[in-house]
Amino acid sequence: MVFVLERRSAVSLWLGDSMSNLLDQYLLFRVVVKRDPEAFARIYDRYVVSIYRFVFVKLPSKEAAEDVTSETFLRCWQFLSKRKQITHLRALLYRIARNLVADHYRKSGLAAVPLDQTVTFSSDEASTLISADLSDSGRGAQNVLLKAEVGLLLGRIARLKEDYQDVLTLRLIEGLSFGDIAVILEKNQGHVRVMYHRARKALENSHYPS
Amino acid sequence: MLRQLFPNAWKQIFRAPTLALFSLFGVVTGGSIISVSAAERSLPGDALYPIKLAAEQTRLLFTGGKTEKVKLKAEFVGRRANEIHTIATTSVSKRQERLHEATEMLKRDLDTVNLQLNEAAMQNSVADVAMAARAVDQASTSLVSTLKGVKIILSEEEKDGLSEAEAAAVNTGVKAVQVLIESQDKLVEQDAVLTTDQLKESIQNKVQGMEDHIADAALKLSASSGTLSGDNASTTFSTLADAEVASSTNRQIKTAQQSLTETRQLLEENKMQEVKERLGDAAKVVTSVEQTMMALPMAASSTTAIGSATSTKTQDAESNIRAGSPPVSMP
Repeated sequence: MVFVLERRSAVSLWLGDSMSNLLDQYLLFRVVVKRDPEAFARIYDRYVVSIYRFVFVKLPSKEAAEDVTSETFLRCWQFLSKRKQITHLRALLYRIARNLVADHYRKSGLAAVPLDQTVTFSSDEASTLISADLSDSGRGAQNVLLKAEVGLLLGRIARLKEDYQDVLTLRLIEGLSFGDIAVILEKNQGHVRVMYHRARKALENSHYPS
Repeated sequence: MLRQLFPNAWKQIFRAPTLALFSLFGVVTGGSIISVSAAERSLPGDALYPIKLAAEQTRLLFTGGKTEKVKLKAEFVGRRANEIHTIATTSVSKRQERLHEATEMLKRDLDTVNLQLNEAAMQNSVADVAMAARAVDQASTSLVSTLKGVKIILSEEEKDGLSEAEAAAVNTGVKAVQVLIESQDKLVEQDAVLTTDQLKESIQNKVQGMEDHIADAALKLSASSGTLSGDNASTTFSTLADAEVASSTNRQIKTAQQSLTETRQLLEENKMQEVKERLGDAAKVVTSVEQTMMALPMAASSTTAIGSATSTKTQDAESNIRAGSPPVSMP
């Protein structure tokens, strides 16, 4: 039963990915050949959230993430304007974003690690932690725990090497298949699987600094 | 720089979605880092919601032991319920879409809990499994209560899918109770996770939950078909196939009601193994009824009938739901 469900899911995923690629190809055609601005706007709408989320995890501030996201689509537009052939639109966007993140750190002279991933709590949250106040049915304590979880994940990912950061972000957060990640990172699928398992191990072994 | 490089007509295309997206992320206050706060507060449909889910998945990955994973997953189910409650009771954009996404996530998480509980039951110590089942039982009871409360305040279109989630929650609760009944037999009294009275109370809650669910289904079916005489639906349904489905659903509802009445009787007689079987049978029928109800076209009159039938009991409940914090607590 579980195997049948997994097969159906794999087929559904493949169909979903195929349709998605087809739509990308159509939109690229509209942009490159027909010079249709609405088509590029649709590309933007399709990918802006994913690209933002991808760079958000890597950069030290919301403003930097916004700038890099905008710049990513600008560069993509410039690339398409030169009528260069693109086989995989999503991969192109992610590659541009990765390069821009690297550029950001090069220009700012900072190491490629977000400045501070320390999780801080407001005084209300701290008192919830200390007193285990459950007067709001435990919701306060639950929010505090959730904030610590998210902070821990972002902090740990930020301390890994770039390839590991990327494969974890694309797999854990974006939920992409190993095949898609391989296209984005320009590696073969087997290599990506190995990287992912090593990245998970590194995540498990990493320590959050006190 | 962007203005110089883009044609004028594009400024509007870019600006609107960009501003709409970035306006989600508010202002940093109270010393909290925006990245963590924004992700932690995110709801289904928000840009940073996948980060919240990824944090949960990471915690799950690094939690050892099947029973610990079950307990953790039960906690996450509670979070999904809180998210649904927040979406239903606060002013959010695209509420219907968010509710749909939240409900799908919840159903997926409940499926995972069921699978994990089955795996844990096969491999772990009875006491550990019983603890995990207790956590699932408590989470599902809270979840059903939350979903019932939320359904009261939503429109018919908005609550599409919540009934299915509620049935899934009841089903998960029944599975947990079945594990508890099994464990209670195997554990000596001092090692029992809960007392016999507590177990009976839990079973009664499940029975009541299923009875309420079946009663709602019967009401919807009755309102949709106009009149039902015996096993035959009226010709209000547009196709013969729909009428046959309605008739079959009506029979299933009666079967479920009978199973639940028998369960109560067996519970009074302390025949716990038979209670376990009847609960399982009833839960299967409830799920089946829910699935066939989804397939039936609902007549316009049905929404009016349901609305008037439930309005007398909803006003107090509605104000409590809107005013109060969500009822789901950590297991």
